[in-house]
Amino acid sequence: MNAIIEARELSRWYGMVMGLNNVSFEIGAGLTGLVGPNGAGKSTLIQIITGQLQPSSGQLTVFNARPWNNPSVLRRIGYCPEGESVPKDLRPLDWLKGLALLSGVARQEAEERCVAMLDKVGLARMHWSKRMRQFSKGMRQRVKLAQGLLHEPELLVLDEPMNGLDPMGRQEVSHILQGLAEAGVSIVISSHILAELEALCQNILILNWGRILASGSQRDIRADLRDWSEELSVQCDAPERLARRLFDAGVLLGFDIDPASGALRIRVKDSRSFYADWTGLLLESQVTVYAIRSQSRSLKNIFDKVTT
Amino acid sequence: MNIAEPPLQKAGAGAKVPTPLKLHPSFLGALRAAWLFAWKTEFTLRRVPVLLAGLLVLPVLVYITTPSPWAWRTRHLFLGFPQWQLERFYRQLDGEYLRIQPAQRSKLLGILKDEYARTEEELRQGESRQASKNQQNARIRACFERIRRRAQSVLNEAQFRQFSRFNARWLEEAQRRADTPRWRRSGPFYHWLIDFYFFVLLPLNCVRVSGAIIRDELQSDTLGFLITRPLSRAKLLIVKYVSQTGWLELLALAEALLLFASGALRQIPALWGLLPLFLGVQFLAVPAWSALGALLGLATQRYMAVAIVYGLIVEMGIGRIPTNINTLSLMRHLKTLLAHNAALQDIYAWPSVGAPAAVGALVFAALLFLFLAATLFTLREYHHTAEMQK
Repeated sequence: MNAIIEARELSRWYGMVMGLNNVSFEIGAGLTGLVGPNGAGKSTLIQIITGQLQPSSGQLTVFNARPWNNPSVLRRIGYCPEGESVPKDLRPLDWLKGLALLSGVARQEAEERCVAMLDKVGLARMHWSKRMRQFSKGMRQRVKLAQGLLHEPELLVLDEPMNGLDPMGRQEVSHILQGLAEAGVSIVISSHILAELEALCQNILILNWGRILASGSQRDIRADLRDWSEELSVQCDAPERLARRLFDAGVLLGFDIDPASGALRIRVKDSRSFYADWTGLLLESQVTVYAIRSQSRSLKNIFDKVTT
Repeated sequence: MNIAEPPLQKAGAGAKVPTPLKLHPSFLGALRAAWLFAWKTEFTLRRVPVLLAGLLVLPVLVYITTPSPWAWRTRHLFLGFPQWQLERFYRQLDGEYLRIQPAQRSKLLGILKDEYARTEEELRQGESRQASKNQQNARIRACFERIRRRAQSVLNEAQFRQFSRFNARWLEEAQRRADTPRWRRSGPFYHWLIDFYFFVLLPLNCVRVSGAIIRDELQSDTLGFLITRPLSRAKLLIVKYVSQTGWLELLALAEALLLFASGALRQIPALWGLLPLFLGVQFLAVPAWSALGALLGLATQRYMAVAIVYGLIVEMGIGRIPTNINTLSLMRHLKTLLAHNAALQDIYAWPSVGAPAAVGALVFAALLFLFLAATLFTLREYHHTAEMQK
């Protein structure tokens, strides 16, 4: 794999405060999620990737070059910052046009491209004539996303792009990002909304206290978690009987029955051997199963596991 | 957790990389963008009335505080007030027992009023035509000579001797008044225009606006949109500086024209002769002050306070030391250029030698400040969170 972003022993501190602590990683093409609580170092990392900050030690390269004050790298990166700050006295089309010109888009093409981007991010045309101070959070997020796409970047870096968007808006943005990824744009996205990242990103990078706790695909990370215990919720006609059978077979760490739904919640010792024996155990217990749901496959669960 | 810090794990693979779009970042395109941001931000329904009101405040103040020729005439006469002057003369005669008759008084008053009125009119016409001081003095002397001759026929010999002494004293006072009168009425106008507008308001405004070109973006957290564009930081600063300076030049031009119009309404003499020189010097001053503002704005958050300290130390302090060290002061070079106008030379008596060097110094200062600002912006990080914590 050709790494698009590569960090070696990268550290960044703000006076006495450590933003990133000696991290090394590679990010390749595709959609990569940055996950971490507030203060984990996500925004610091994004700002180093986009050439806004310099590493205190170590190095980070994007497209094999350092991004700080490097127009040849920056022309390949699109950036959508955190927060909802936009120039409030400008209209979206004027702002995008200016940014397109700054990016080197020809004057004749600039307006056409801005219109296309605003359409792409789904900002209704009735709002185009308004100054951005009148915009809602969600509308500002869309304009911010549009400006990041203006110069058709190869790498799109998005810091909390879902903030302020309603569920419909999130879905639309997810579709846009998936479309871009399919078109070959690499995307690095940080978000607190883990469910969104889980659906969107093949790869994740989990940060906490300036260190990378895990990185890679969700499946790889789960495989790396040695004390990983699968949690399942089973809807069936005889939860007690099933629980006894599984317990006798020695595959469970524990179980309980939800009094409200009657569902059996089990924690398995070794998920790989459990799934190998599962069908046989089910047939032996002669229980009718209506639904099985994994409680621990979510990104939130992975996140909780690696950060605790 | 065992998996902490995995060695160089690899995320994602296999997606095709698209051919990059052909972008042509150019200085001109960037300048166009910066100019678009500058004027689109300024021309809003909220800002235009404030802008216009701001431009009009000073010209209105100038108009109000500069006396009209008519008002000045009623309060300030070159030759004095005949009745008061004659009263003093009569008291002197009384003291010497040379009592003067009512008929003599009335004739004498008539002569003075008649001659004064005629001469005042001549002097005023001369003032508007910029007559030389010598011509004005000759007119005044002729006036008092005529008065003396006409008074001789009204007064007896002893009275006339006393009158001649008084006449000589009035002549002296009138000449002294006439020596400075050209700027006395227009004094408030020039103090507003030069001392306040050109040497206080214009520099402070340039520093305020140019100091904010990066600082405002930083504080409103929009700098990230600009510095992540495929443009070097130095180039970004320069296009922002050029567009902001262009905007300031337009505002300064409008303000200067309004001030001159205000002066013209008050019939300030020799005004239009000053206009081309003033606009030219202002055209040089704006980029120099703006470059200083850009540098201070990048160096510190409290750039206005630093600018005031700079003004007090360098411009007001070092700039007034009568040695070569005063060439460090930008104001000193601006004064050298403005001193080429006769009206200003009359008032301020600045040295006018070395105009080309003064122009060169102003251009050099602008380029030096801009170079330092661009270097600072290239090397230093500007971070919204750090800015807001200060």
